[in-house]
Amino acid sequence: MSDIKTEFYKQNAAKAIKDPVLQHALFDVQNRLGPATALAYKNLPEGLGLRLKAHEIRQFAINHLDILLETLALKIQDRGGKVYFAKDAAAATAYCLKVAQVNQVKMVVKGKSMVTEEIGLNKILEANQIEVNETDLGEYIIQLAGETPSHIIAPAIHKTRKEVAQLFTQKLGIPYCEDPPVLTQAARKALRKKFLAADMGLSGCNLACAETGHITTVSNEGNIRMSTTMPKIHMAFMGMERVVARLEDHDALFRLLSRGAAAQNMAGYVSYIGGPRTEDQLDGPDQFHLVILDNGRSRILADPEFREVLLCIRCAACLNVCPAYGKIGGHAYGYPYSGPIGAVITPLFVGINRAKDLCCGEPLCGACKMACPVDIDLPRMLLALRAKLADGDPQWGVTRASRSEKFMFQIWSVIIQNRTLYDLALKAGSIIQRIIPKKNDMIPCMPFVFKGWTKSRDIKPLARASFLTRWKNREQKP
Amino acid sequence: MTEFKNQGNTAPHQHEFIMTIQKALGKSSSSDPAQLFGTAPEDHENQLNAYINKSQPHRQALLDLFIEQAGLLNMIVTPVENVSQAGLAIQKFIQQTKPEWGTQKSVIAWHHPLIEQLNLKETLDHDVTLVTTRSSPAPDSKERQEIRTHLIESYIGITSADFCVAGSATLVLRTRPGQPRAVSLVPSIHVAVITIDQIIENLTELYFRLKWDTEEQKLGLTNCMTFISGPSKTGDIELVMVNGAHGPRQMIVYVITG
Repeated sequence: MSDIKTEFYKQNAAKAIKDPVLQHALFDVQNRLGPATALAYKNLPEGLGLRLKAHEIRQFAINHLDILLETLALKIQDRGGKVYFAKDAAAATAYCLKVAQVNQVKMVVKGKSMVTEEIGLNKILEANQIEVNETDLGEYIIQLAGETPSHIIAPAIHKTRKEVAQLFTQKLGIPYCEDPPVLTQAARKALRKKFLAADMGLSGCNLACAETGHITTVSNEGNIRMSTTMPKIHMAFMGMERVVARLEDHDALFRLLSRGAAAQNMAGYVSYIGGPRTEDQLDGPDQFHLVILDNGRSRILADPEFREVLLCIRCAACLNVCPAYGKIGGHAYGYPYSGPIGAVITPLFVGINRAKDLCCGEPLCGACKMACPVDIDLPRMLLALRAKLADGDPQWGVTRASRSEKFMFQIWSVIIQNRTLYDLALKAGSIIQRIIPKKNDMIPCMPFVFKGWTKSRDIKPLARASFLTRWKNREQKP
Repeated sequence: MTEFKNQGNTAPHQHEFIMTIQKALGKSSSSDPAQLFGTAPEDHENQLNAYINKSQPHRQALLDLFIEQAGLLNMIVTPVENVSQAGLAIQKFIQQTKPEWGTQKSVIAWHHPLIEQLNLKETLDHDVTLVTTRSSPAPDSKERQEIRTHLIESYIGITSADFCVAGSATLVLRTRPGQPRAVSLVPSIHVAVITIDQIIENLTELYFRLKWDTEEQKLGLTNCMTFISGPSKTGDIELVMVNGAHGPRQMIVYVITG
């Protein structure tokens, strides 16, 4: 399992907001990718409607997941590939370790994969004296720095070129230089040696195709092609939901994935991999393993309220438009999945109470739904999670997050349904607020139980007269 | 590793895993997979004919679109009239370029009819080493190691492609004997030679032809089909676009128009 730090959401968010370098980087990534993706959707020949079609394709696949996975597994086995169904992180990592040990693997190269972050694979391999090399440039940078990804597709976005230059000088022994092409070339040189020497390559899977029996990998750098071509063993990890039925389903989905992830027409490299090297071929891995992972997904599948989140293709478009992510960055979410998608799936994976701040921290503005290439209604699910926190839910093992809050809202619901009581409360409020200190006509600090409301914002005092009263007065005037 | 051994056609833990999914979906048993994958549209033969027999102006328009899209990706497309012109252009290109690692000019090329016709063996300067990836029917580890060594030493890899998708400037390459996938990956420069009739409109056409054309069905997708849209690139340092992360830094496509 990956380290879970969702309990520290508030502290880490506060820290991130105070970090000017991170603020600048987050602004930059959102400012550039958010509008560019929106424009790329608009310029699609089919227009924005393609997202709705893609939603249907993904929904269809999820509804037939059992058959699709069986078909995929069968076809890959027919080509001599090995398929392993892992119910949880422990089973998946144990299988990987076992294959590595049986084949005397000393060094692995890895293409970017969120699901291997989720299962905490690197730590387990390293604990067993297997060298793990992240090869996506962003992942490589954060691995050298001993950090975790802060963005699903741009994992080192929180690092400035200065920091990368210092890191490379220290770790790769190159002369200090802040030029991105020079830094990229240094990583290219260092990692080329690793690609050629590695015994095993690990990758994720963007979207498998059941009909033909292939996984697909997508990258711009070519690191995933290197990892899956040069070493003698290739092992791919896929979340069980990452499959579609038909080949032509990839038409809409790859175009949308490329646009959602990086506002590209098409990602630089897409590979369909369906098995190990055949006897007559000159290259490719001798062994191909596919690990299909549940790790809490079947529980989400079983709940019609949250099943929709399994449609996600992990493009990170929602991160690039989210006002909360744009301020607090990826690390605050305390789990590999950040942003709006993280705020929904992380609680479902690690426990809704444990990760309650994630779903409460999102503003419900709807930007993530608009940016989603498969039109997932994340705001609806954020609300559903909050409802579970408000009332508790035995099915998900959720206990009510705050009794006093519930009590307050019960009182409020009585007041708001009774005009006389409501007017009385307004009157009482306007009297009490006279003695509360103000700053620029705003209340910076509320008393008693209302303190929480003004912890990170000022609120406006109640108006002298309510709208209805003012309206009446206006009508009475000649 | 007995505990991971397959039993018949079922992968380890497949049964419990699939049962869990069926339970979650509220199904009792799986239905027939074939019906999920669709049947050929009634007019698919007409559609295929239209795709395969494009008019000359249509082909030219697709070439123009390909050149335009490739330009956005720093991919150079050079139309040439015939194979010998392509051969000359490649010879000249090799003269003008230097290897990224070391000093020896090594070139590796697919064993492919179109590439044979380039006549590179005769035209290249004698300081250039050219290796063609011709192989025996079942290459042993020694033979494969030799090719791998040449591949790593080569700074230019020459391939052809199955298709070229104009709308996104995407080359589609399938793995075949004598056509290793790493030739388009490990050398610093990827040179591809295709003919104009291999250029297609978009992914819709690609998937349609792969799925319904009986000729394409015979080969299938192979165990490795790769889409390549431009040279390798990264934006991982402050979103600055840099070509040449791990794959080729440069990509050139010669399109034979005659």
